[in-house]
Amino acid sequence: MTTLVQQAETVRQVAIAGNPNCGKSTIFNALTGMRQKVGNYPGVTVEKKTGRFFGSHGETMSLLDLPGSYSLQVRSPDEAVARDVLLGRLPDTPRPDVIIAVVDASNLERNLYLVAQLLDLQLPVVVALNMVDLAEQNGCVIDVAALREKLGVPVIPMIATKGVGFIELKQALSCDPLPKPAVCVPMPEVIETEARALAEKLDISSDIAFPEALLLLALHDRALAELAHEREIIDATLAAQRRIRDVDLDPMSAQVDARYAWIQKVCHAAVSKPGDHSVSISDRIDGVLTHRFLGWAAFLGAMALMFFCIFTVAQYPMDWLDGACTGLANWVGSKLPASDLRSLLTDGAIAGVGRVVVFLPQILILYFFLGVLEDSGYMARAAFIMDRLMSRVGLHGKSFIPLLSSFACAIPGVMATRTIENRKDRLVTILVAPLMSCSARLPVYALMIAVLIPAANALQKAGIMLCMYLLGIIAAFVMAWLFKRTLLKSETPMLLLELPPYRMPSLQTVALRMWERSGIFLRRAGTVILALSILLWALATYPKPSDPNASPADALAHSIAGKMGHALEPAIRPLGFDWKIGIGLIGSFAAREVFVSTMSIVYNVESSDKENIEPLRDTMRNELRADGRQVFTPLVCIGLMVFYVLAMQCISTVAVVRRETNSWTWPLFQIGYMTALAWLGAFAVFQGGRLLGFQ
Amino acid sequence: MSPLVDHILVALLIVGALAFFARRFFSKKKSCGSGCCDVGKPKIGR
Repeated sequence: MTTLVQQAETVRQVAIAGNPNCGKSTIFNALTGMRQKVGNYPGVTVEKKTGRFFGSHGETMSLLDLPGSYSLQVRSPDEAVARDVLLGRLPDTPRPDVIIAVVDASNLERNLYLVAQLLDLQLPVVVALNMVDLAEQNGCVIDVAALREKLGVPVIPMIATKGVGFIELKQALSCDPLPKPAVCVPMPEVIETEARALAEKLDISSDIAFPEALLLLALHDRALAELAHEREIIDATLAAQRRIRDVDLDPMSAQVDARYAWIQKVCHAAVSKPGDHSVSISDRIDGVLTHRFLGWAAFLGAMALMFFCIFTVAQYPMDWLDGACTGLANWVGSKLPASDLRSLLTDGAIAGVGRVVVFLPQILILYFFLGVLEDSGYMARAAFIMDRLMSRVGLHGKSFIPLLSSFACAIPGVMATRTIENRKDRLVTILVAPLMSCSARLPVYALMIAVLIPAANALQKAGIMLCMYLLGIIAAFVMAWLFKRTLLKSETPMLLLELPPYRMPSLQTVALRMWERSGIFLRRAGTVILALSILLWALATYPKPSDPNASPADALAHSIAGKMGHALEPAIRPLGFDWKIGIGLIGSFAAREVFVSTMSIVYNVESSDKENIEPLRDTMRNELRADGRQVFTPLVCIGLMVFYVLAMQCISTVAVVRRETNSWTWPLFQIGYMTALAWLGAFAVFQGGRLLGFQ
Repeated sequence: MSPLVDHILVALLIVGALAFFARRFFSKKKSCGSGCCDVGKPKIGR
């Protein structure tokens, strides 16, 4: 028992700290291998990764991967957890015995800011100078010995992805006793004096009292008031801040300036850049891609190219899939006698699922482009140029990623808003995220464009598709602007964005993502859409008219779906939609792509020629109203697309918004405002177009 | 195929589709199926 207790006491607690994307997790994974555990910090849902590894003498060490942070002056819940662990504020997590400060060698100045703060903590620090190969490629020569001397702690050059430097890192961690930092960042005299005086008042360990005092001095009034400290400490802090301001220093920026001045000296002594003044290739590319005007042209060009490929490259596999579905429906039809079962299988299940599965190649191309753009580093540039617009409408910079994710699907988009700290900013983003055109709208747009202009070339079709995507973006921005000025008023914080260097996209990563998405799409087609197609077929077939010789059109009108469509018709007639489109709108409330299945089922059920199923596009183009006019006129097609851009036709998104906002108020409000917006949009297109003399 | 078998098969398929949605509706799921539900930060609660 005694031996076990002694062993437990001697396990060295190691924490890995560093900026986001500096290679912390790579080092953590390499050290711990499979000996790791993922949980949550109590009270917050920030991920806690712990593991075990052996030091250079075979001794067991416990390793904690802290969330990435730029500074101990926190901006998010993740950074707060890292700070609290390092200061020993969390009761269930022991204060580490040693910190591995992972530093990106190719971005030394910014990464050293956190190191400067870690040195104040009076804990042994080992600097893991990661990505030294990348720094060398950038023409940056780092004198490790000089850096070690200036920082006063061990510095280990590493290339974590290639396993370089781990032996030396373990040796440094196994030192006994571990040396505490020999250097402290000098602060202006008044800050130093006030911090020391404040530290004496704090009822905590003397090791952490000084860094705690520095952090307290850097807090503004409101953040101070939210602290759980005694009133006496808060008053002492406020008084100290006043005295610092009296000598024309800002308690926060004076600390930041002092640290950066120290970093400058460290870098001057340890880093040399022979080709310092040359502009890197990445910078040159950024000169174009983040340019005020050229940046937008490049962004729109990239999107246009994506849609062009969606219409050209995807056409061949789509034709094969369409042929296969039609062939399967005809084969099943030929094997079964005319009956309800045959109709259910051919007009319901195969037509409903098949018409959606046909769009798989287009969705895969969409994900291919999104993956390539993200992996190459372009998405950060897109966020940068979009931020100019987003900040004008009051959207938080962090809203970009949720909005971007919503192009794939609004569900991960809504969930990605969890990174936004401000409740109102997060709600605004959730409310507008479904206005971004998700991949489920793609089949609807593609079908309507095919009905609208069947003979158009791929460039024209891509142009219309691009307009629909842009309409969604514009609508999201306008609504965000409106919400930020009415329901959810708040200040918009600025965006801090790191532009990673451009790199060749990994085809493996992109291919894996496409594989994963196609799996999700096909599973959905084989389950939800199949079940919905069967139910929609039943609604479009039953009850049957009493007259057995009634025409298929009369039978459809007599069915439950027909009656529902007729009931909805007065509301959608001003948009130019008839009752059959109404059935499509009702069916697609479950999921947008079901509109295509519903249209397919409605027109197949109604069709009198069961032997030769013609393409849905042609059936819809030939569809006539009772007075002989065409149903799908250009205005109706455009109006329908506009309706789908703006409408909240997705029950899964409603459920996720309900869960994320913890109330039914916001999802119901979202359904209401988006449906109203969609109706008004389609109304404006149809009635406005007619007033201008279009059909 | 007799009309009775035809009707039974059709009814089974429709009931199966309804049961599929009923099961989804009543089951308490940990994930929405998007694959990222377990990554978490605090929800917006009052």
